[in-house]
Amino acid sequence: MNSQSVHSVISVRGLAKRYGGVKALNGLDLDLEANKVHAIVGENGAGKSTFMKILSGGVTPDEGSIEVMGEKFSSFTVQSASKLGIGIMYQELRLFQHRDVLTNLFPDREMRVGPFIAKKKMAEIAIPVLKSIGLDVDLYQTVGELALSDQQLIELARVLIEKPKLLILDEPTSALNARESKRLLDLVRLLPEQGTTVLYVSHRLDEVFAVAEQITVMRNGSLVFSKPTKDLDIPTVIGGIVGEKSAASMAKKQGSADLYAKAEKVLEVKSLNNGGQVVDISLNVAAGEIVGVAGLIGSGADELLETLFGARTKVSGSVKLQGVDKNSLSPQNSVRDGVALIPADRKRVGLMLDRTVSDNLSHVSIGGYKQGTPLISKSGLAATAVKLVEKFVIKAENVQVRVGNLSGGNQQKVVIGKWLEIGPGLVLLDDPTRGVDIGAKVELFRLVREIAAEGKGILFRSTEISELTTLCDRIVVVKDGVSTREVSGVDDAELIKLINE
Amino acid sequence: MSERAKSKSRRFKFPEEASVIFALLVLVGIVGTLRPTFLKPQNLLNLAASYSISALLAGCIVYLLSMGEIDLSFGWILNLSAVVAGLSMIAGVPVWIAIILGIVAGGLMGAINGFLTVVMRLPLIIVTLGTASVFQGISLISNKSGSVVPTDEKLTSNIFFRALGGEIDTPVPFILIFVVFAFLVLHLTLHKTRFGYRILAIGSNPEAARLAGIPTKRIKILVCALMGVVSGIGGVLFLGFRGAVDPSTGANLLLPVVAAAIIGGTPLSGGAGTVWGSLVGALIVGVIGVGVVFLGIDAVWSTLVTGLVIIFAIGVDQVVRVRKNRAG
Repeated sequence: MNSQSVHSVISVRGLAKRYGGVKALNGLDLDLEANKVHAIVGENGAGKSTFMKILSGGVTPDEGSIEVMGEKFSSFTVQSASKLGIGIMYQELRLFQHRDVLTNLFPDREMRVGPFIAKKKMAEIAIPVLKSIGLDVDLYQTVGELALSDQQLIELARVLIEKPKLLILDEPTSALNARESKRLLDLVRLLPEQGTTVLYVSHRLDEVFAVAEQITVMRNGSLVFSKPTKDLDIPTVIGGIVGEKSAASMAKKQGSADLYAKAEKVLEVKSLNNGGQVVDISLNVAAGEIVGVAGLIGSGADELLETLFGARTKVSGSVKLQGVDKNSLSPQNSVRDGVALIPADRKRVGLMLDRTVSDNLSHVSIGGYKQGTPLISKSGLAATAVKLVEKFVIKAENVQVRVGNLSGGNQQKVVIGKWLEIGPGLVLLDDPTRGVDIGAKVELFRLVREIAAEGKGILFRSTEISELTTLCDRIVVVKDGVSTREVSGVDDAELIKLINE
Repeated sequence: MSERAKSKSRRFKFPEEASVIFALLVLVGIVGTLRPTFLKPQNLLNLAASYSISALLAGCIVYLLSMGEIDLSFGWILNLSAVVAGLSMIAGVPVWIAIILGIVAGGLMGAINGFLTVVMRLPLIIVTLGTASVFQGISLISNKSGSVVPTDEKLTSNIFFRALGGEIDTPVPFILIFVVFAFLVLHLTLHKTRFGYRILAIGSNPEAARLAGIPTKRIKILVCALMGVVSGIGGVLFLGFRGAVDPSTGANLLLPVVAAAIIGGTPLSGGAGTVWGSLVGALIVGVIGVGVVFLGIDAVWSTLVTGLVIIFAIGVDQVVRVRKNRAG
């Protein structure tokens, strides 16, 4: 133990932090060996972010000690963290969109000659760093004009310029597609050679396995285990994250293509084109079936569900709902025809974050759906909301809490709840697990299966291959806006091959 | 969990308007202590009556603020509606029909605002920056930059105007009864109907509202038209109250009306609004205006004081909001 801690960048002992009655960290002991990529995984609320905040000095622990490179600290501030070379790249971009790359790389620590900003000096430092991460951009280009993935890399470069001893990455690929993620992961893997220890926090287990040498699993503020990646596999890690019991419900669904042959068709799409990324897509969904849509970002898969719902304009092709031709697609018509869309960007277009759970749950039934009297009562809405909260196991103190205060998984259940209230026949799920932790994902999957079992048709788009192969009866593969084939019972590797070929 | 949810919602809560009502009472108390005649019921009723038109408009501008929009043209809608009603009377149209014509004209102007904002996909504030001048211009052209004065007998022969003018005895001024009733309707519509729910939903998140199947364009046009109708009613009330419309009628309404809504607790960000709050807010603006005169201070100070009160009200509101968010 002792000899090990000599090589540790950071060792913590008995670290504890309480927020009111909630134990965010409950006596954490952990050593992070130097010059390695470490991954920390766990559900939201497992204590990962509290731990990260303590390391960056933003939060003071109630108990326990932190040892950084042999030096012991009882209190730890933002200043001491940055002096010791601990750098953090947060999940959300914190760039100045209207300013150029160089300015963004030196936020409030620009170099000066006298009172003037020394752009040349800054550029000399910035260029090698940008080169090392393979980012080829003009230093004087406005950041807002760059692709999201390049912006994410600039965020990374901004931290790397300070040459951190310990680099903490919080969900760095959440905004990236598969190719860009791979580029970032390749880069992270090289960092230990340059003397930077990496602490990688992510929900995406495939990435964690690709990049980390050591995986630490946390649950309820404590360490579950910390083992070398080579001694672990994905099911073991999921088991550690959610506890053994819930892991069973993630179990793979049997591909049941025969269901399709028997049941009536809820949705029939022929040669759909939206004048954008969707060029020629045909597919069918039967009652009680979960049909997956697989495709890279930009392949048309990501615009398909919004087009079917009428949120984007259809240019040509035919769409039949329950056997009836639907020419004009619009959100209003969709609501009346019993088509639900769980949108990908939940916070931006799915919810009224500043309003209560109760108000949000009546968004469709009162707002969009035209049934019952035009009069409403607050207590009536609340009573319905309480029923839905119970049915979908939404964790909220009460139905008058602002939706913005709920966790990602519970917010998503509010979106699903508000739609299921009107009893839709077809549910379009657009990447519903984005920003949702693994525990909540397990629950969402259970929920989706229940919805299908009630005889509703489900069209499910996901950016995570394993979700598609786990959940779907059939999978439609979309490439360059065209539905190229339909598969069922494939494994992850086969499906990845299909969408990339 | 549901047990807890139920018991929590039953716990008594102060209405959100409590703080504004308290502020109003404090203001009345201050002026009343210094000048006891201020507190005479007749004086207070007169004060309320003379601010009732701007109160009515404030109650309706709450709808627009709740939807995340703001109308800058309602003062000129009021003016032009009054001109339409007045000119119709002069032209010999029966008084009741003239009243209806004025209100319909207001509704049309509001609908034009709404239609333009939906078609051009521009915020209403920008659209009404233009239409305000258009409405003012039409008013100036149609009355040749002069006042519109229907003959006395036209106005006095109509029961509605006689009641307005105080010729029919009511314990409180008729216009007050009318405005309080209008507020009741406005309050119930915003908080107890599907229409009101949709307005608040659009204000909270327009795109989410659209994806929930809410006909956002139609609602926007309807709310703008409602603002026009209420401004038209305001114009007719003004005509009855004062007996004439002159070219500057409505010009100075924007500040007191929007101030009343904001002081009352309706945020500019949309998604929330209180109709009753705006009534109290309008009374606060009124007490400041009249109180300043009562205290013997030059009336020009009332605008300054109103401005300070707005800043104070927004500041308090923001502090409360930040606290609430932290607690939640």
